[in-house]
Amino acid sequence: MRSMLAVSRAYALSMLTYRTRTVVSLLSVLIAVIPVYFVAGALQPIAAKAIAGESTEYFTYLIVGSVAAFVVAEAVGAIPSLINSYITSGTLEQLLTTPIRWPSLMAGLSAYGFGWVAIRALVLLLTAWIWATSTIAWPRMLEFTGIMMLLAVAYIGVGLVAGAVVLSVRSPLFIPQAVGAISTLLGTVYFPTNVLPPAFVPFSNFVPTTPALRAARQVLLRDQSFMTVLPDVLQLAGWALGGAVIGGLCFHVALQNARRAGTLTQY
Amino acid sequence: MSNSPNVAITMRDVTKSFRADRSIWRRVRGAASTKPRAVLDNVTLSVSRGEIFGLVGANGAGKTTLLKILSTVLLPDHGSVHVNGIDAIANAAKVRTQLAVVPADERALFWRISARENVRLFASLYGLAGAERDKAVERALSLVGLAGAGKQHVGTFSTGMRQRTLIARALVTQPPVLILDEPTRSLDPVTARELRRFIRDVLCTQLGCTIVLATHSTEEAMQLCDRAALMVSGKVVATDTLLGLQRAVGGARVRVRVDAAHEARARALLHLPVDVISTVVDGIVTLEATLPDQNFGPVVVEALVRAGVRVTEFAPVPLALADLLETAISQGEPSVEVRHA
Repeated sequence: MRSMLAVSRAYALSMLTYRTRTVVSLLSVLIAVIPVYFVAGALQPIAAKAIAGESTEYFTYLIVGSVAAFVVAEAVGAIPSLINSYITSGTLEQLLTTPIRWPSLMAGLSAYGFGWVAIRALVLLLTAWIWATSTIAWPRMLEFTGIMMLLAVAYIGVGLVAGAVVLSVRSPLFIPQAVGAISTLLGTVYFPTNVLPPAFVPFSNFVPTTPALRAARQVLLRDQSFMTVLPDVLQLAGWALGGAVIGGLCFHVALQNARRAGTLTQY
Repeated sequence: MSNSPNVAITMRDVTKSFRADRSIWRRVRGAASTKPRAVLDNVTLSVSRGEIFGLVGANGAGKTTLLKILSTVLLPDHGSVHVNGIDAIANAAKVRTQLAVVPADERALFWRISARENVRLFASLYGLAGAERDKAVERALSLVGLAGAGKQHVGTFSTGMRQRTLIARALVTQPPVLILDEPTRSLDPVTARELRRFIRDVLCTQLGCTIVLATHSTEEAMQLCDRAALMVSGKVVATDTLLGLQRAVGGARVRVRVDAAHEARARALLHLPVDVISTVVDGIVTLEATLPDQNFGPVVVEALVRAGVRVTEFAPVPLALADLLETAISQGEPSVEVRHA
């Protein structure tokens, strides 16, 4: 735990020196939400019926979907990207010569990114709260955060698999992009499954964002209790457990293989 | 060999090869066609506690690969590695608590945070916390002369300061074994000399670290190392003191400065052909000669003095790495093998 916090602190201090980038990133969230508000307002009459089970307003539906998209993008992309740059600089190899274990190292390096996702998500939700006509159930924030954390763990498994691929062949082979695109298209991020072509609908059940967003919207936008969404949360927990185990195993094996093949450092 | 209390590091029959081509497409098309390239070939050596041990060799000789195996980030194909009696292959996590690595590449630092934060990170990774950690960080920064610059971002440092930060980072937990990969590679001569002095006087003598150092420079090895292994194409062809290595590959080189008026007599005594170039500055001529053995030095000086030659300097000259390697290769590797391990 101490090692993880130390890595997290060093990485965060390093990233916080990019002051302009930090401010621009935050401003871009605020600016991006403006067209979303107007487009959502224009589509509200068409979307209202399709989203009725999860939200009364398409704008808030999109905002919660966007928060999940942030989480998914960070979970699948952060680890392979960090590994790629740290292999090039020799930092990964240096950190692995110390007694730190790889799960602590990866958690420490990823913590800042998820912290930043949390801030951007909060900005989005606050914007929605100010602009939306429907309400956001702020007292349900804890349950909502828990669901998003489970979603993150489920996709970190994919991130670890992509990281394992980077360790082996120095490229994530489009895994983060492919998983991100599939999750966005099939996982009810911007539209519900009932607007998908019938042939695609069964596949949406195999995307962790589907139960995660169903539960998250019920909790945050419809003020439903945690027990109401328990089946979805359990399904998501299954994804998280499976993702963590499979991703962890893949990464561990790839790390051992990299120690044999010499791909842990720049070449 | 690994159980002796005086032995810090043992490597026995360590072999490592890499795929010649790591391209994924070539692997898909026919991995079998790409033969692995041997980088280390049955390397056996041992390093005593408190010793500065050099790995001397040209680019691609296998020095860095050897250091990587020692620091557990690379697994050998065959052979055994022990650090302070701990098996570095079976128990890598425990070995990592015993050693610290100063890499050749300063990019391994976090450039956008201060030197103090860089060192603090490594202190925490080795389990230090609170006041104990802060004290260790300040001590390490002071040792390398960076106490006043601790708050500055590493990105604003000179190359020498970054090198010192890397050393402070490695020293913060006072590891029993320190691995230095070409520590003076990108330093100017003055800074390099200071760093060598620091390694010798502080790291080895004061702190009692066992140091394994890879270098291109025989001069550096001669100034620092108690013993060195000469590596050629992944093989350790000789292990000895630098003077011993020089002897093994063909005599000891000496620099002799004599009065210019006595040059002819000196040349005759030293058996130097007339075409050997000499330099004359302020009436003093400098000659270089090869003796069969360093022990011949006093005899030669005595002979020169007896012949009336005024000798102002008589000193050993570090054999250039190129000469050392050339001689080792031309003599055939087995004939220069002087294993003391």
